[in-house]
Amino acid sequence: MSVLTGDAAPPRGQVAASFGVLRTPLVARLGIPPVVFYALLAVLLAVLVLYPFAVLLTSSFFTGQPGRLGSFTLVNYEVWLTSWDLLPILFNSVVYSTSRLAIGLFFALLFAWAVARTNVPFVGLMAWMIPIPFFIPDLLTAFGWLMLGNPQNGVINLLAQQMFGIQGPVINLYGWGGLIFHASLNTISFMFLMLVGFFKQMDASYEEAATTLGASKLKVMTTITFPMLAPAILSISLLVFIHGLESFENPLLFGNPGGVYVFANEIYRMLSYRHPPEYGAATALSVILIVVTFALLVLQWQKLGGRRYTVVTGKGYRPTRLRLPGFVRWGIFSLFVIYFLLAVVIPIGQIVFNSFFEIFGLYGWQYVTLKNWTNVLNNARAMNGLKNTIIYATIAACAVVVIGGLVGYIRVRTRHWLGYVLELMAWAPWTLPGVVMGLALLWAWALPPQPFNLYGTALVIIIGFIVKGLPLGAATMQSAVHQISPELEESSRVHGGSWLRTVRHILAPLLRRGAFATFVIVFAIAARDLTIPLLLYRDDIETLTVTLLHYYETADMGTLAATSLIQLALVMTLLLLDRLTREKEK
Amino acid sequence: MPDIALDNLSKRFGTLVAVDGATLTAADGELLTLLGPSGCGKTTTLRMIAGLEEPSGGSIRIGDRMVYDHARGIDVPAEMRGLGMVFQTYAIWPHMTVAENIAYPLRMRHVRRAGRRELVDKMLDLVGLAGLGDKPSTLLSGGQQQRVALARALVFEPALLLLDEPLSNLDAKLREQMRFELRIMQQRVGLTAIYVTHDQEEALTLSDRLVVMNHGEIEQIGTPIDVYERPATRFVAQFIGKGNMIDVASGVDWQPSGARLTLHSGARVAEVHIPSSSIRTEPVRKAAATTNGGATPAASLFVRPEKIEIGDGTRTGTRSQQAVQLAGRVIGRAYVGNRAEYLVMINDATSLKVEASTDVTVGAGREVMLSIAPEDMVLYRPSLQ
Repeated sequence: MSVLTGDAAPPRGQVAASFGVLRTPLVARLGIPPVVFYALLAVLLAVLVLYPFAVLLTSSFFTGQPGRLGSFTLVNYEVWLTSWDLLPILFNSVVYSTSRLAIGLFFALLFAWAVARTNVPFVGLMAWMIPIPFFIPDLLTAFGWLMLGNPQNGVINLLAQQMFGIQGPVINLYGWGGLIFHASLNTISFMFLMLVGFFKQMDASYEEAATTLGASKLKVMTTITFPMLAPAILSISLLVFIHGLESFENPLLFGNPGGVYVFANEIYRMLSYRHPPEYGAATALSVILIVVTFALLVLQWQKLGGRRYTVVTGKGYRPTRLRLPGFVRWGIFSLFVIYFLLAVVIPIGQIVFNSFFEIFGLYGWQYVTLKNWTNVLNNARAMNGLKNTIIYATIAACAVVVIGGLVGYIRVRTRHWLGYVLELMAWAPWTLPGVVMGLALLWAWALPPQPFNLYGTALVIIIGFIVKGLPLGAATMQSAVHQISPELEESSRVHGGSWLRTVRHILAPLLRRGAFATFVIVFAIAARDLTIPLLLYRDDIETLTVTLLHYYETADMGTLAATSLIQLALVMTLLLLDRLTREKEK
Repeated sequence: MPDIALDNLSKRFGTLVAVDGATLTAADGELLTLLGPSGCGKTTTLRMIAGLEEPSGGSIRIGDRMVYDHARGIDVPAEMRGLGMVFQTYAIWPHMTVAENIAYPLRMRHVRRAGRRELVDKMLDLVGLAGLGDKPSTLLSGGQQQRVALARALVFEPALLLLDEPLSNLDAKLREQMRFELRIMQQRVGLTAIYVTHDQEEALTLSDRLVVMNHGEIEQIGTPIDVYERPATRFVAQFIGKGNMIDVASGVDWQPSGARLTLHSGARVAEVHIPSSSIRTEPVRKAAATTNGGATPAASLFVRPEKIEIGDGTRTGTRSQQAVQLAGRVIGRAYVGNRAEYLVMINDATSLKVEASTDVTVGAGREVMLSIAPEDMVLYRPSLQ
């Protein structure tokens, strides 16, 4: 009560005059209702997202090619639906997706469970290192493994030949084996990242309840923990399966030379390896793929819509760790070591190693050189690719932060139905595989008359990156907005801050962290993307990924290695920056 | 300091009526509390006054300024209403220091830096946080955050102070202390304040007047004594404090001067006469909402546990001949420090809560006599209109 003794009542009369007048906010003066802004944003998103969808769908019923629609026809679909051609593609895609999912799920569950719930050795190290492969572009580890394990002059095969005199390849990563092997490495990392949180956050009282009722710890795992996480696991599995259907880099690099064709590389083959390109058939196949993907997503919604995150109450107390017998602990740890060697150390090591040799496969002391590095740094093409990648990815990431922020804000803070529409549109590209998106953009922006014809300009690639980054970017921004209590803004409004000043003084500073995280995610997605620039580039606007593919296809392995490492450095620098700012916040 | 008047203020969310025609006034310098269970519309009402929620109808006047009038299309935005508000979560901005938080309303009003500094220091003094101005606001305890929130809401001398369950996030001890501090501060500044809470004790001790709300409707407006002693509706009677509601199925003789009815307790039949001043009439629809789904009784008799006197089987207490005498059996007893609570069964359908001082001790299972003075009873009569 001491607070209130003393004569501290505010001296009202004297200061009242010094309070300035509150000004009516601009928007209120103009009398524009906020719904106008929502609608404008919806139009923007429709142009970015729905328009290419629509054009793709329309053009699948026409005979022409981008820029020239041609005449109405059903022949594009007839090719696929009246012959057996679709069957092997569908079959291959399902086999590919299922096997990488199965392998990924098994190891991800094992690692996530071990890291979150057991006394496995070096838990902290494992939790920190298993997600790393996810952040390394697929393209790079693929190059590393292909240098090691291609049947003609893979380093492993060459070594076997030199040391043991074995003729013929001991290892062949072309085709099914390499495809599934390499795709699984990344999948394990991704699924671990998604799952470990669920294991960590799951409310321990559910398990403790079972323990008090007489269940052994192992029994608790099998009857409580895993069943309760089943919805989350299923949901993530479907996501991974869908991503398998649309993945491009792995089928292109491992599948093509082995004659394994899934949706993505088949579509690309028809566009790039056939003369003239079979636009009609490729477009129809793209639409079929979208239909399949969409059906799976609807299935996921129906099956799991209501009970997704129910087990995570986030009470935040630590469940007791299961004590495993020594051989199991170290067994799991060895698996982790092997995994990390395969996913990161060996392929990246090979690239680093190779970047110091002039001729691929000739590894002797006398051949060590820095020539690759000086070449790359003086190489206009590689440097141009790097510059383009940085510029395009930066612009796209900034755009996604702004668009995603607005969408997230409208969705979280207003009850307006347009919020749901915006969210849905921002999320829609998730169902669009990269190659299909590239093709759709090709149709959408190469078709219209000037000045809307953007083909061959940087803008079309930037648009592609924005669309590609939008689903994750908008989701991240939305959760960032979600974390800000609405009362923080309301408090500003009540105390005299107009809408605009509230954004400037309250919302923007509080969102800075989330905005940066979003920027990093979208930048990383754009910087590693191959599919969009591959279909849309023209010489001087090519990105680093396209340059890399070019070096690979021309077997310029030294330059490829050095350029790959530049690409890796770019992505890693950004992630490090993100990590550093996060540490600083703490 | 201006007064405030709400006239027929309503809010609908789709088909749900959150606030149904709220009409009330708070006089200059008054602390008016909106009290009710969660979902009763009290917070929505407060938010409409603040301008954070757009009403569906009615009007809001603060002083001589109309800030919302549905009919005339007036809707002053929140930031132009010049109000101070303390939020349930305090809403202290984590990216600002204590002083920056408090200075914010002044900054919005273009007060110069030096002036801001001076006013903020005065407020820090007032709320007992002197010298903590440069502290990051994230390092404050709950009670300190509460004080910063209050300082921020008062620093620009608002027309009206709004408080949205400001004490609900504090622990019990601190809550009680802050309750008195708030009250004294509000009286010292002489500010009109609207206070929202679901805690009846808080409401009774803090307010000049209470507004009891339920299902979006105002049930009663009155001083704490009014509301406690003379609850206007069955809902208010049951929501505030402890009470006994004896439903009378039939046999009520309604007369202009009052009502006559009989109460059966064991072999005893007690004649009860309730004067018309103690009879409250309320619509059947509302009465039905508070009787757990059963048939609407002809009338309900209400009495507070502490108004019932308990004596052992032979003595009938010290009350006058007028008092209603009921026979019953003690089926439960609880010791609550300075007094004892009994549950006494007077017939198969009814048991009464009784509170007595601890110098009377009656064990469980004993036959007892209860006596109730007629003026301590309120009779609720459902009406069809």
